[in-house]
Amino acid sequence: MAEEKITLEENFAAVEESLKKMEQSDLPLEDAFKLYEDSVKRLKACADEIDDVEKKVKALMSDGSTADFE
Amino acid sequence: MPVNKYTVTQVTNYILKMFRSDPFLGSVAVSGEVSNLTYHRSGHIYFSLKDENSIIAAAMFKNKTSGLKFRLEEGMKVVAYGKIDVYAPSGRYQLISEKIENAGAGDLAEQFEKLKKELAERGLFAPEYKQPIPKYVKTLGVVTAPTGAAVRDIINVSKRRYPGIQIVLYPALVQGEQAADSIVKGIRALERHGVDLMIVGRGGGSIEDLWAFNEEKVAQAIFDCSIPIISAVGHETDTTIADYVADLRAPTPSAAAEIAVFDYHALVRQWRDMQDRLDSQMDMRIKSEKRNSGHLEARLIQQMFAVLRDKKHKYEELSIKNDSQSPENKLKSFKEKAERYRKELDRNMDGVLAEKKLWHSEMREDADSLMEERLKDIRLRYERYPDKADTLIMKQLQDSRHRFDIMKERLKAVSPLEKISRGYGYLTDGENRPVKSIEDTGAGQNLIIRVSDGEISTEVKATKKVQLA
Repeated sequence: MAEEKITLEENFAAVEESLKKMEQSDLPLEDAFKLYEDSVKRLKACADEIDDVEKKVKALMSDGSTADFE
Repeated sequence: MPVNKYTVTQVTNYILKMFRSDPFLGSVAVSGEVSNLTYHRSGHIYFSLKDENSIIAAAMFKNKTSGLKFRLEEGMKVVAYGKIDVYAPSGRYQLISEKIENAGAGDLAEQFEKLKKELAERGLFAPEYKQPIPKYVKTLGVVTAPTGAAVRDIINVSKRRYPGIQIVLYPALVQGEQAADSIVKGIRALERHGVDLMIVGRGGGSIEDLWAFNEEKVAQAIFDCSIPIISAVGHETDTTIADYVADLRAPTPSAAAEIAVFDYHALVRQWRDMQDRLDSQMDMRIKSEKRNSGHLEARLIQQMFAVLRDKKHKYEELSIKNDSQSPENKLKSFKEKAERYRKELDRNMDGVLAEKKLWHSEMREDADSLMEERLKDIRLRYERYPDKADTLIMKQLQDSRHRFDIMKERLKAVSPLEKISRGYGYLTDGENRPVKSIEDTGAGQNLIIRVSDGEISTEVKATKKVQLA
């Protein structure tokens, strides 16, 4: 479960890093574009990660099964 | 009935003496429920003890509070030991407590302290065993009662923060004898089921109500759980063993949900911000590159034009040079030159002719005037000699006329025009220089002979020196 958290945070950190690099004007355009491409992919992954899923509250039964709660 | 008058103080002092001399009121144990509780900042504790029918003010002074092993709570059933005394400034009697016992579970506080000490020694509260609370939780486990405010608060807050959150609830007993076992089962069941994070807790209640969270098996289950656990038991002032052993203690169930569930909206904002920054960064970069390439292009074009202009210029120069070398242009140039020369020649010739004409007319005038002179002379002589014979005169006249004629002819002979008209020519070379000697010309040279009515072009065949007398 912990790996998802790392992915999201790592992705954000990576995008932030790329942005810092892109803000340096001496970066060649090709590299800047690579960073952009990578960042867009990462942000897409982040978006997928945090996307709304169907909200669910389930009650876990003592036998290990779950039932809808509410 | 005689009535004595007393001051308030006199009456109060009398009552005070009565209370203090009473052996019963000097040492009492009063059981009741705590209310109007104030932990005063002076260190004294003020409260009331009450039962169904009555209420009595009570206080525990600072010097005695160190003996109090638990925190008094509203509604707590206690036994307070002390004396009943009068407080003159407010005209109230109160129980001055020396010692207070928890009446419900007089030994619960002791058990709590004992267990807390023991677990602390075993390292269950040690910070190094605390697991980090994940920042982005998608599946949240909750061990609490399926009814009541706690579960509602957790669900509401969680869904508000992240609408996509999945909550797996283990409906546990949180009160009573079965509670501890139920909570332990819940923790283990959710661990098996697999969640990102757990909230274990319940809403507020008395120390007895919360007691399950003070039990060792619950503490151990929380400690053993591989999934991070946030404890959320009762109100902010309630601290249980579970709180000490949990990876994080939340003051209330809602607070636990606030901590457990990330703020989706803030995250989306952050995400959008990053997307925007990324786009604008790239956009800026591309614009700047375009600008640069535009400048370069403009410079290139300018340079190209400059080169073209230069080439064109050179080409024109060359082509002019080339044209001038072409036979056609050469011919034209020659023609022009010839024309120029001819015009110059004409001009010169005109000049010469005009000069000659002038000279000729002057000569004639001279000759005429000379003639007039002679005639005058003759006439004069004739008049001077009137007596001479007519014949003589006639002869003389004839002679004169003859002479005049001769002179006229001679004059004619000296005029170049006359000469020309008589078959002489005026000879010049190509440069319009008069040819006066054979030295001035040579074989093959073109010469021009001007006669009275035009020019004759001729070519010298040969020259020969001849002595003309």
